[in-house]
Amino acid sequence: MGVQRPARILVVAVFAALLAGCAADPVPEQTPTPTFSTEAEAFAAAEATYRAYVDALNQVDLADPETFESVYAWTTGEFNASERESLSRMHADGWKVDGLSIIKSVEERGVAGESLLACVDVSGVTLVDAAGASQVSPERPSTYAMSVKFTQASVGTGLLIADVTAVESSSCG
Amino acid sequence: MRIGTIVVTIAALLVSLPASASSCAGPSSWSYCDVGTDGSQVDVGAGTTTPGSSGSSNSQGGAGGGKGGGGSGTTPPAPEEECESELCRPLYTVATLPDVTAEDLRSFVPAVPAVTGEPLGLGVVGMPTNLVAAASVQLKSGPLLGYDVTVRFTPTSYRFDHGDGTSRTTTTGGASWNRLGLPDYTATPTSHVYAAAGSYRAGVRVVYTAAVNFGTGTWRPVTGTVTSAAAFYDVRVVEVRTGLVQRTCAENPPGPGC
Repeated sequence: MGVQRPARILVVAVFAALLAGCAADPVPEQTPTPTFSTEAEAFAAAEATYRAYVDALNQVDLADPETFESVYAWTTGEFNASERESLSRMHADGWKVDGLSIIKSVEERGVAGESLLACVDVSGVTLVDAAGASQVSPERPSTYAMSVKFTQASVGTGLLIADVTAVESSSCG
Repeated sequence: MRIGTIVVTIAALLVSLPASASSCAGPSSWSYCDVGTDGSQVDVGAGTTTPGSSGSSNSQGGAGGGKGGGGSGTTPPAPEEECESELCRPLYTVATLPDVTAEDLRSFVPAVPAVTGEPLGLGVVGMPTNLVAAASVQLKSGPLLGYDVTVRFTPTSYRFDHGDGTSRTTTTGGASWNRLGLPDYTATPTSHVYAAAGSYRAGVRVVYTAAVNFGTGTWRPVTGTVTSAAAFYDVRVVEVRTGLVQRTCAENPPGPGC
């Protein structure tokens, strides 16, 4: 007993120090806690997230806002807000979208699990307004090179899309 | 634990997450996403673009400047022309016209529709009252975002507020029973049945889509729609206990009930 009590106090003290250390560091939202054990795993999660997002976009029926929910579920932050605004506006204006956006390829770009580059073929997508006039710009390319950025999440694939930007890239045909 | 990697990652994330400058949300990709350099440019918001800047910073898709998901991107550079009016910006050889949204058209007011109904000014409880609205394409000229433009409004739908708390939106303004080849008091796409007698003030608004001509000869579509003010039409709804007649007493003085 005489030997164990100081040992116990020491252990408690060490724990307290450790916990205090943890509490002292404020964890900003963007700090990634490593949830993927390999880069391959991280990239696979990123690719799966992006594919699920494009699938959700392809299922959107602008007349039925319930179909927008799965698009929102894969996005976060300002990008999510932007999706909400665009989809709500098109819905309110009575637009119709048809055709599929097709992912031709996905490759690593930057840190695995944080960003990737996807080539997306949108040539089959039609978009018309309530009067039936096409709202597709004549400058829309047949394929976009999309730079996709992710943030970590605690559900689903472990990632959410924080941004998608069309970029110039020679890797997309 | 690869602390070094985490630190570098945090730094990279903080650096590379500005407000999404030229974001390409799904709906934007359907219409047009401007192709930018990798996430490092700044958008000019408020639905306008800056003429003469490099092609990559004129995106309207997404959060930054996106007022509507359907905005079109940059137009091809206008052919270089001799420019003598004071509207020219001689500093730039390529003029990029702004993308216009419905909010920008605040000072262009389209006309209210012409509204009438059958029976004129009257209705019968429990029977359809036919409302007919008419609107046409209009052209209005004036200044917009620093240019002299002509705005074209095209009627696309009509909103009938019946004055009894109900309303209906249709793509047609309606037509008289005569024109539709229907007997009087039948339902039409623009008719309404009033359930109780009384005086009602119906209002009809037209929802227009718009396009802007900056003088280039092309009509550039405007994102969003513009709704006119309401044109009012008063209806006095009465109960009728006798049977319906084919002609009014004015048309047929010796008719029943006259």
